[in-house]
Amino acid sequence: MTEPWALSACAAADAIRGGRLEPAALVDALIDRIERLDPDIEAWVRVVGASARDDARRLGSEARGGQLRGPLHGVPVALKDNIYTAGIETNVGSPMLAGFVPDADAALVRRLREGGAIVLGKTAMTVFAAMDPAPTRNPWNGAYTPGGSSSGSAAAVSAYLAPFAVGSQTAGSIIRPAAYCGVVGLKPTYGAVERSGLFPCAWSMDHAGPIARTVSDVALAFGVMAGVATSAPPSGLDGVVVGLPDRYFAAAATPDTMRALEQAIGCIHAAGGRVVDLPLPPGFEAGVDAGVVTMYAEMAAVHRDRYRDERERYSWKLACLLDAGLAVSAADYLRAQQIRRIATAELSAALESIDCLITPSTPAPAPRGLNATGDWSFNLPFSATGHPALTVPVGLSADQLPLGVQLVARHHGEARLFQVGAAIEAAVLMPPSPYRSRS
Amino acid sequence: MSTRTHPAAHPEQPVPAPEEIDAYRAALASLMERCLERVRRTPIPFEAEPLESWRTDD
Repeated sequence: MTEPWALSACAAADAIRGGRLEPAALVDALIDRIERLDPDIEAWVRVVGASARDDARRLGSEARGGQLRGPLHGVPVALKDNIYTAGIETNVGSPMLAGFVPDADAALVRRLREGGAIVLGKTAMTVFAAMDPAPTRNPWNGAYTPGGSSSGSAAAVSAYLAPFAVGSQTAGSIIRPAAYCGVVGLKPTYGAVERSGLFPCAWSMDHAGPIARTVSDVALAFGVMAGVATSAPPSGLDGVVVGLPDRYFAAAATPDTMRALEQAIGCIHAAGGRVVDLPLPPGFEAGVDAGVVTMYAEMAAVHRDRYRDERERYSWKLACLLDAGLAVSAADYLRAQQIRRIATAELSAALESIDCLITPSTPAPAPRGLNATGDWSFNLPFSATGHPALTVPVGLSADQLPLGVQLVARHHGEARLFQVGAAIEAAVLMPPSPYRSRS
Repeated sequence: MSTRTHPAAHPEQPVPAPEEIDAYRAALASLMERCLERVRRTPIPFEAEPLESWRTDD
């Protein structure tokens, strides 16, 4: 049998349901692995071993009695450290919040627990989900960033230190780290996963979503987090039409990245789907710029009081960013919302004629070094418009770093993303990260 | 293991020379100005729906 720590979330849930795996054995295997391997990755900031083991014993006993709480019964989850967890310290990546212990779970954590998931701990992130990176390393090559801001969530899943994780995205913080780490990530439709208990970065663009090693796992976790029924995606892509944007993405992508996109397009054709050129709407770029203005202005609003009182505790980079946000006038902020609304409506109309868009997930593979977390320019457009996006790994660059493609659907079109993503996943047979063979 | 916390999850980032900070600040200001310029000059159609209905959580 596969080692418990190597099981996908779906396989672990199935084994627990079938009485072939004890949740306690799964939790023990993961904690043991984290103890041995995480010092090299630094994906985790806090592992709550005692409470996870208690939960696992309770859930194991329930499963033996035929009582299952939900589709994730007994499956451990890694949570980004900006997600409130009752009784578990939550720092949002900042020493300024040292000692902060929420007294209630975030809504999405409540949903996960109700679905049977076990909270294993909290994962590293950039400070306040902004610019200053976590110490986390990319499991594919420790000299490279795992991306951010959900750095630890993506790295933990990629290194087989958790079957699935939750991240959050304001610009590109789920799709980008998932792509850099060679795993699957979903930025759901805005609002589909409740944000209550998610420390805000920029509230009108904040999304929480799952990261896992397979499309099925992401679909399973999303269903529980959003409280919607998900089923296995239909196989094949007969009748499915995928749009290839006519500008913005190709001009900024490296040759490696474009080759990966071509490979994914080949997979779509082979599965019976059709790929057509899609002219992006005229207001696309204005929507992107409105998203940037919105993000910086809302971040400044979130931090204004603390920044005024404890300015010296903010990094110089974050201080520059907050100053830029504070300088945005109310009239410009409101105009940015009007532009976003128009850009969203235009993109929604364009998406009506197709099933989803396909783009590279990032302009290039993960950059070398740990001082920055990469480029979010391919992801922010859809954080600004709230359309759901899924990244699926499709291969490796010349430097043996993962490359992914991003699929984007109409609002609440996650099921279509899972269908197309699963078809690509089945065709490309992405190799696991080198940590799969580490013990 | 009960609870484990990295003692220094975010190592201190060195503060660069003032000129480097100024350059970063200027680059950020330039990005914001470019974005704001397009936001200001993009026309809002007269028939656009009222702002207050622009986004909901549904």
